[in-house]
Amino acid sequence: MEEIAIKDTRLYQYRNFDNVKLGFDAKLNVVVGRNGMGKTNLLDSIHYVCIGKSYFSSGDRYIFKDSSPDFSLISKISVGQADSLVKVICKKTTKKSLSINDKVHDRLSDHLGNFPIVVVAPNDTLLLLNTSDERRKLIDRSISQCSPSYLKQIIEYNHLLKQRNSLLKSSKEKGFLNTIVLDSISERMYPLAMDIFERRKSFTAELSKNFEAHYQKFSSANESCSCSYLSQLEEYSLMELFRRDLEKDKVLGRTSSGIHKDDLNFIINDEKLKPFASQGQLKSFIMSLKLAQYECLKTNLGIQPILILDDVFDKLDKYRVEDLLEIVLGDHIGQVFISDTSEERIPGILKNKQQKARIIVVHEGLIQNSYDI
Amino acid sequence: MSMKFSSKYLEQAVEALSELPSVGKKSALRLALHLINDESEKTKRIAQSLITLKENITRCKTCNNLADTDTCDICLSESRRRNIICVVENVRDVMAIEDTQQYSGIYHVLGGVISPLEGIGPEDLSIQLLKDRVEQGQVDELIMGLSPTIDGETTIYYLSKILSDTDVKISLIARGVAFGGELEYADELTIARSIQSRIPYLAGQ
Ligand SMILES: [Zn+2]
Repeated sequence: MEEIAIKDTRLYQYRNFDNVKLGFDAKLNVVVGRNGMGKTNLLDSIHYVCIGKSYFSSGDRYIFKDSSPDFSLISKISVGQADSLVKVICKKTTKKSLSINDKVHDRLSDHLGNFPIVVVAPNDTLLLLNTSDERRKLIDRSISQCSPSYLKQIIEYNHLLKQRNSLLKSSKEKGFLNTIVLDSISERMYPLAMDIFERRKSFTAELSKNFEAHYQKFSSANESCSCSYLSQLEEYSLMELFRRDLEKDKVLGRTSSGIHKDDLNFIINDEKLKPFASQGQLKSFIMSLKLAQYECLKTNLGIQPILILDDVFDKLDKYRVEDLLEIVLGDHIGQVFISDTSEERIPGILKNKQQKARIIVVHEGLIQNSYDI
Repeated sequence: MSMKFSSKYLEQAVEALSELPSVGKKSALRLALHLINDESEKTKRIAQSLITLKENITRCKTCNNLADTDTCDICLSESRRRNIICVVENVRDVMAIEDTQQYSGIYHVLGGVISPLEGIGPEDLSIQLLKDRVEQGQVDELIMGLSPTIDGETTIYYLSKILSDTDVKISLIARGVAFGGELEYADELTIARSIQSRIPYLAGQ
């Protein structure tokens, strides 16, 4: 098992950080400060360096500080015995550039899988919404980190899907459908869908196994749980689905079936888990799921991923905080970054445990203090 | 940015020039001032050549390349092999391949790729013309010089479908021509090499 750790990072014009350089502990880092001071931004910059994009924003345009024309992140990351220097330079006017040891990566997919990372954040409860987007995103984010070619397939499938929908929509308006164009798009989606389905299926099987094991540990009341993959491709090929639904698709002006409808189903005590489940259930659910994702990445890549826990200690009582810390401090987890609003709470617990850690105090886009305990 | 002009002639000229792609107001002003200060007939020459261009340029009725008469120089040339056609998106691709001086076949300029999202269907491209050329029977091979984008591939797939009942051979130029895939940005040697090392196209792969 290879261990990775971010040694240091420099943030330049990154969100509310002007120009900051800071070093990290190889195991545990705790970022503290009041809300809105930049804790999440700092954690997001770690994700950016590892994956090549933000976890919390949908586009780079939200990252530039004020009216700054560019931002950059430079990080030294140790992988086993060797150090890698990762540079992200993003300008408003040109394409962003991402390099490792000064070797430029042309595609994001070249970068994926080198520095695996798992993020736990408050908006994870979106995973329980009615729409399946977030749940597919979880699967896709995980598999892309394990297999860069998967990302390419997803991008291709989604692009072809958009073209297919656009063709169906405009044909509906025109009252004429060029079926050869439709087939040219559809037939290229068939093999992609098959591959994506197979990969999602085998990944989610592994994920469920880990999820169920973790949930048992977290839930006190011995609740039963399961997580299963739902896909129309389980029963029919995409070709069969497209043929079956052609008339419907023509009327709707969009593609009604396919792997873009795939979903994950979470069952706790024989009931589908809802967003308004109890706080305890939600926290157990999210932590189990993310730790399961962590295990999957670790097994597939042979690298201990970085774990980010953004604001998850909020609203937890002292005992649950201690339990959670106990878990992430174990040997089976690599480098950890935690954020918390209280400056004393987590450092206090860690001191009692005589646990080594780096505490970073963030205040208005500045590192007010950084010390080891 | 707003500019204050002392002359409305100057203002109009700047407005007109800045309608061109990648010409901003500042560059337009610089060009206009340059022409004002020029003592030769430059302005007249430029204006005249643009009008002549617009009034006279036409499309080759065979290959859809830009031409002065209804058949372009490449199609007219005695020394070109007529049994091999390289299918490209636009005129710039033809020029990029011609610059290599390594290709002796003729061309077909599609005018783009199929993309329902952008409202471009087969009828908006010179696809029927290509089909007619192939069906006349003198073509042995079509080399697909389209960019290796998802839409470029859809277009190649479409072409292979509508030509499946002819016995024309379809081949692809080797992938990874250049970063971004656009022929016009690749260097001459790379283009020449990728045309020579082309591979047969198998639909669905
Ligand atoms: Zn011609």
